[in-house]
Amino acid sequence: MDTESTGAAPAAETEYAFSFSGDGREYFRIWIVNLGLSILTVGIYSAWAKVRRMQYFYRHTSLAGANFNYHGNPTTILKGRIVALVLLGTYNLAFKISPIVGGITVLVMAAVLPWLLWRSLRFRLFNTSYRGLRFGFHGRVGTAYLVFLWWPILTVVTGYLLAPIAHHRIKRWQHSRSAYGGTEFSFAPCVGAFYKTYLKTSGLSFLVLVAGGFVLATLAGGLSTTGARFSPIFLLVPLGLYLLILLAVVPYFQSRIANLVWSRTTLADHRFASTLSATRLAYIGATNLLGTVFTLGLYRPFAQIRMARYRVECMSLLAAGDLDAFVAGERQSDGAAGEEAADFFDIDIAL
Amino acid sequence: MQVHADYYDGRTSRRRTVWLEVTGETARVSGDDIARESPLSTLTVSEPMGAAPRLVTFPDGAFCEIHDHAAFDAMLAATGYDEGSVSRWQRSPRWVAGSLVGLLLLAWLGYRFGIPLAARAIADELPQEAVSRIGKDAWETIDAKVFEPSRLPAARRAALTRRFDAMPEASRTPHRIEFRSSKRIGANAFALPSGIIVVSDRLVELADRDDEIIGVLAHELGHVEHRHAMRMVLESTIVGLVLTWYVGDVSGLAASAPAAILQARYSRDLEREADEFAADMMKANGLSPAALADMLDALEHDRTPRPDADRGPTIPDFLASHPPTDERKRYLRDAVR
Repeated sequence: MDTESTGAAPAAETEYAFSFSGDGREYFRIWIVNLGLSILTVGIYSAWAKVRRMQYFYRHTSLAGANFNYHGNPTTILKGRIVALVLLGTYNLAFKISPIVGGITVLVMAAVLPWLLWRSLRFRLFNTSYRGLRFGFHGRVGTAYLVFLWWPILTVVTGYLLAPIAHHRIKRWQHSRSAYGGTEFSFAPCVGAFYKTYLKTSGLSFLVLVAGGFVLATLAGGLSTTGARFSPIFLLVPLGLYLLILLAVVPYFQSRIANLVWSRTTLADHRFASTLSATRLAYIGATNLLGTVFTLGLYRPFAQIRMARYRVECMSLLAAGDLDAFVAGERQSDGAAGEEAADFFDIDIAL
Repeated sequence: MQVHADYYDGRTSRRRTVWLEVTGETARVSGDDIARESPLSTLTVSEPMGAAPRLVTFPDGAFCEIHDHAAFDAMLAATGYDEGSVSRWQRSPRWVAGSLVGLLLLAWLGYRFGIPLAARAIADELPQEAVSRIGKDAWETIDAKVFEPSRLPAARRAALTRRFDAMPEASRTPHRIEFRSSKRIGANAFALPSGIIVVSDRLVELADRDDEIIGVLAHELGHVEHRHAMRMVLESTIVGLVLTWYVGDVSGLAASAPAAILQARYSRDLEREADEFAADMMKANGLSPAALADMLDALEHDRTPRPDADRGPTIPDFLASHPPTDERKRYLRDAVR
């Protein structure tokens, strides 16, 4: 039993595990044909490819005998992609022209990003359905600025001491303002647990950096042939450390936060559980990376299926009673500009 | 024909177990307290997608989730359903193999020709001020940290500069020649986007005759004239964008190493272009391109470690980021004719 859960489990709870039926070989075929078509159409078809990809992953995810679905509109997504491309190109070029132009670009992006992320949350959730009811997000755009701009600035300014609180605020906002049909999710606060996780992760990082740094520097010293103090081999040490952090510390952090956040999330009387294992996540991530690099990228669809399967199958719903009682919410529809931009800038805010 | 299905009405999450059957042009759903009919033409059927359930959706958003693929496929066949081209292509081995080959071919073509052409087109369109500004701050910093004033006699520097600037090609392209002394960079010359051409004292000392130095200056002017620095910036931006999009979730790290490798190839193409510019410029002014080849000879033989030099990190040698020197010398000596 998770000692940090909010209370004793109510009687008569049924556990439904999420399951994933996607297949790597099958998805590879879809992926490659869609990629080919995207390139032939200079990227325009990519919006349709994305809808197919999302549908593949959603429709292969099931819970209690029913599957999820994705309803994104390809033309809306295409518009969103063009916006994202312009933003990314501008960002890349701006810094190369001059630091001032680069600085202004960063400020403009900072101003626009919370709005984009808010739109992304609304769009992604609204286009997800289960048993015919759409999900939704009811957070207000003002709170998006608080949570994605004000709190991060505050965090940086106070030397990252507030990082766990800022992160907690994001998750709390995300989860408590999401809804399934007309029913809102709830999130029980756990700032203390966030602090504990951050502290443990810092400790792990320190260990990894010290031990890893020592091992790598010794290896580099052994391999270096010129004996000069600044042999290029030594440049590999920071690179190696970065990889170690990415492949060992990040999965630890992600799994702990995800498990914590889901243990605090409820929908009506139903609870959730997430049992991601840091070592398994790290192993899958590392082997996926190796596979992708050694096949010049062709392994990527298999890697995505593998990771999705693990993440989905570690989730379960602890249902108090049947799942027939939910009712649809009000209509809500938006453009996709937010979702694409958030994807492009590598921000994972998936529910 | 009948098939087992789960029916959801889109208003509640309630699952109803139903039979879906088709008679003529009408589909009927019947089960526990639900019975409805709809003409086939008003229904949408989801694409086949492996193990995922098929969805038959009604106009009002209600739908049937069908897990019995065999029975449903038989029903679809009997009613003349067309799954759509892309769906069929995804399951055809020929299309998959074709896509794979086509993809690799297009990727290579785009990299080898598409990106350089696009970068060149964009660079040529940019206004001069934008081009000049790149690297301006960097030069001031490097100048202060890495270089010392030239130890060559002022008269020698002025004579070389005057002779070069007198050539028509030189007056057409805004530039400024700066001589510098530096133990670290040895015999070297490079051009900045703003038009500043930096020549090291050691390179001038190595030359047998002035024509060789003029050759190097002409090569560097080629870089400025063709906006090579801008094109490299654009090329690396595009390559970076594509790799970031593709590698996606593994973050910028995995994208930057391949980007650097891919970038090196573009450098060599641009160096060749600069050599061509230099050869043309020298011939137009009655000089022999072989002089530049002789300079390359001299630079090659100078690549021995200097005992008095700093053992810190060195800026890449004139020869290192360029195409194989033998190839360049052959081209320049052939261009004499």
